[in-house]
Amino acid sequence: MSGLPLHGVRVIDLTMVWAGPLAASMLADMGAEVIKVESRRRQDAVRYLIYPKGEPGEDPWNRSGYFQRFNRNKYGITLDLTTRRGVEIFKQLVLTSDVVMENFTPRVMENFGLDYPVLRSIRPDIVMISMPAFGRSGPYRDYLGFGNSVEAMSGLSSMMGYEDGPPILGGVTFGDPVAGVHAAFAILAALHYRERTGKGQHIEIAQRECFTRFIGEAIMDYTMNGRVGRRMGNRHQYRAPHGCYPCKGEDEWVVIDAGSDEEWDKLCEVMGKPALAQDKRFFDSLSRWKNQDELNKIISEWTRQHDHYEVMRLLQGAGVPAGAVLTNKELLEDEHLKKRHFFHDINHPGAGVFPQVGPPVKLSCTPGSIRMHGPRLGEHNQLILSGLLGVSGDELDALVKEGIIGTEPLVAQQHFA
Amino acid sequence: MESAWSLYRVLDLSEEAPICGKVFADLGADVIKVERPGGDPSRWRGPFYKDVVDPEKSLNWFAFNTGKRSITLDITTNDGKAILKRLAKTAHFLVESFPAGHMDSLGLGYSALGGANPALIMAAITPFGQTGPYASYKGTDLICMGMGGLMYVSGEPEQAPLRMGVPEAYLHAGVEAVVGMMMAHMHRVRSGEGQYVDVSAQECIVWETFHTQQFWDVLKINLKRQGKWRQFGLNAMRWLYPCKDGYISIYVLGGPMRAKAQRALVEWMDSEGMAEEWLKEFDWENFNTMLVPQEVNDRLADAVGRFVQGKTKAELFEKALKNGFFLVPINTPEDVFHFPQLAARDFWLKLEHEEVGDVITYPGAPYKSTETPYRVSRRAPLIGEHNAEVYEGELGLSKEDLIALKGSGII
Repeated sequence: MSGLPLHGVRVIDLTMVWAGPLAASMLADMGAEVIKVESRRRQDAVRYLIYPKGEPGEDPWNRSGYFQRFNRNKYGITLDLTTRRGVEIFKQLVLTSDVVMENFTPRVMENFGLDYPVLRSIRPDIVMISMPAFGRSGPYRDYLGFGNSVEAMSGLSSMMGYEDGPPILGGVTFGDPVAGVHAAFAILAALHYRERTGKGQHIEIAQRECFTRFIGEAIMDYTMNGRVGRRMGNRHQYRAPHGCYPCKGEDEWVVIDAGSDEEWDKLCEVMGKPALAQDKRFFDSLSRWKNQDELNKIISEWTRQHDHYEVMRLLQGAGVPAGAVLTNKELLEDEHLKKRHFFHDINHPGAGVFPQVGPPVKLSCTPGSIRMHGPRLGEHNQLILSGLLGVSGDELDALVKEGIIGTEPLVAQQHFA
Repeated sequence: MESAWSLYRVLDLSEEAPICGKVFADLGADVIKVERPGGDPSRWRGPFYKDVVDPEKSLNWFAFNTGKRSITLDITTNDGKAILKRLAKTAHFLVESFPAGHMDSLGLGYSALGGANPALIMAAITPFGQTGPYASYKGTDLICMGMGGLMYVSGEPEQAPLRMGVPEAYLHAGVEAVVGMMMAHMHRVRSGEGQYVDVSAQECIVWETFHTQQFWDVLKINLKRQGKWRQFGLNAMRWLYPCKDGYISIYVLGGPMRAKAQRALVEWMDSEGMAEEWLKEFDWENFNTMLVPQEVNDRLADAVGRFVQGKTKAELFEKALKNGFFLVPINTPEDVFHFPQLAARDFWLKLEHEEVGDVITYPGAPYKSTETPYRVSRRAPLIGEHNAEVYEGELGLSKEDLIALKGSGII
């Protein structure tokens, strides 16, 4: 895609599951040519998560919605890196590429004979990024981690939960996108450095470190004040009302955060209880904070009579921060997100239509684009191996025969992880 | 080592998302925090150093403003506007987080600043973006998380949707803004052209969590929060358990890749007489959380739950590391601080804070690299700490000008 910021940048994406693939898809949205490399032995685990109607079908590895989300705009090839020929072809690919991304445990690339010193000897200005859960050094380097481990280990989960209740893991494992977005800008910073100096580099993101830094002030509350943050539900350290309130429909909720005196006055007005603003229990912010249980009861009585969008519109109309708690279904139907053209349907041959989102930020001159469905397993073997690397037709046949490339798994995984 | 970003100047007017400017500063750029006189309101965000509530002691401010310089400026006054325009001509990036349209209403929108400096990249971080029906809505962390779809899927099913334990929406928006600004920079390097970057915190949350949407799109399940359980396909797997001294999270998964580790867990349970016959004979190779009847997941959860109850976080994690099953402790900040892996990797950062006469311990860099190091150069600035340096030294204002501007409350 000429005209896009990363046109002409070629990325080899060996990453799997979420964090790495997400980072690579951000680069792809902005014009990078991303080639996802899997193998017949081992496919991206999210190829085996969530099939249309829950039915794996004959080729489950091509039908996963999860895979589509994280791998749009990418080319896909298979290559068995445990074979000598597979590694040779990979090295040829490195020679023509700018970035190599992987998120295995550290020993995997070493075992393939494809760690950074090797890649650098092939292409001195290569930018390589490794994204192990725990880092490439230290006692836990070889331990495999998922998003839940990142969130749990970072300290965040211990602080999330209802007041005086147990900790809770978020409904979305947030460690992954945090590492993914950091990876994206680390790669951009490195590409920029390369343009200036001609030098490549090796970047290492230990995902759990990345996330611990993300909750810096809570960690420092311990390092400096010796305090272990307690779970506060939806409450705020010093503002009230600050909570999630039930609405008319079934399991329908609205969030309200009216911290200032002015917002509180407006809230009372909209609720049709202007006298409440003068009530001693809620007169100033400290009283509201101390009496928030009573306050929340009164607000809930009012919110229960309305639907969540209605509460949001009434309060926002009066300048009070409020928002409908949106479900997945509602997000897709939300008029604001629609008007901002946030959703894009993408047709996948064989598996149907999947909605896509983003890009997450809007650039006025180079907005990026969603161009291709996530690749079927080995979909672009011929295009990349013959078209780009000049592998002959005969050899391509031989590679298929030897199982080094192909479009079907050796053994269908059918399992996540 | 040379920094690739030391040639660039970033004006940081963002009160909501300071992490954006911090990333550029830590990469070596000259980041000037433009605060309103009296200080950025985020200086009042807790927690505070030694619990002293003071705009110069906010740990939140410390954490997300390292490496920046600070000047104060009232950009709502004519003098302030003129000074900001002069500064913007010297800058390569500007980031702000005022309500949508606020900068335009001051005559400081992209058309004005970008008109004078066409190479300028200007990013605006707002709750709902610059356009669309909610553009003028107010949105704090809680509102963005609720409207971004994250809260509905977090918490216990019988209780209210739950926010993250630490405010995060604008952190996400801030790092997404970094990516957008760097993309714009790649374009500028080739074309010389700057551009405007519109960042909606709501969209950043939706974008990052959109895979949960698959349950609706593909399976027509409007995914709900599940507390200690996590949805896998049509089933749920329990992933959070209390143990002897806290909590742990575990993925009980099968398949050829996981079978060995799961058998090791069962053997451990058996060695203490806590594995029933069915569990000892369990076929891990062919077990698929998503495709078995839910009762199988329930039975596994019961068995695992009973066992881990009597064990400490440390015992459990040690065995998990050894045998490779997916179990991790739910670390408190205290556990995080004492975690051996972080010390072994030299993660913690110590910064001198001469103004409080102390050395403060920070979480370190988000990544390591062989070139262009991510490095915190100095502590967060005091209010207007670099006024003289920037205004007199770099912008060429006279001492008298500065006194006059200070006297009229503009600086």
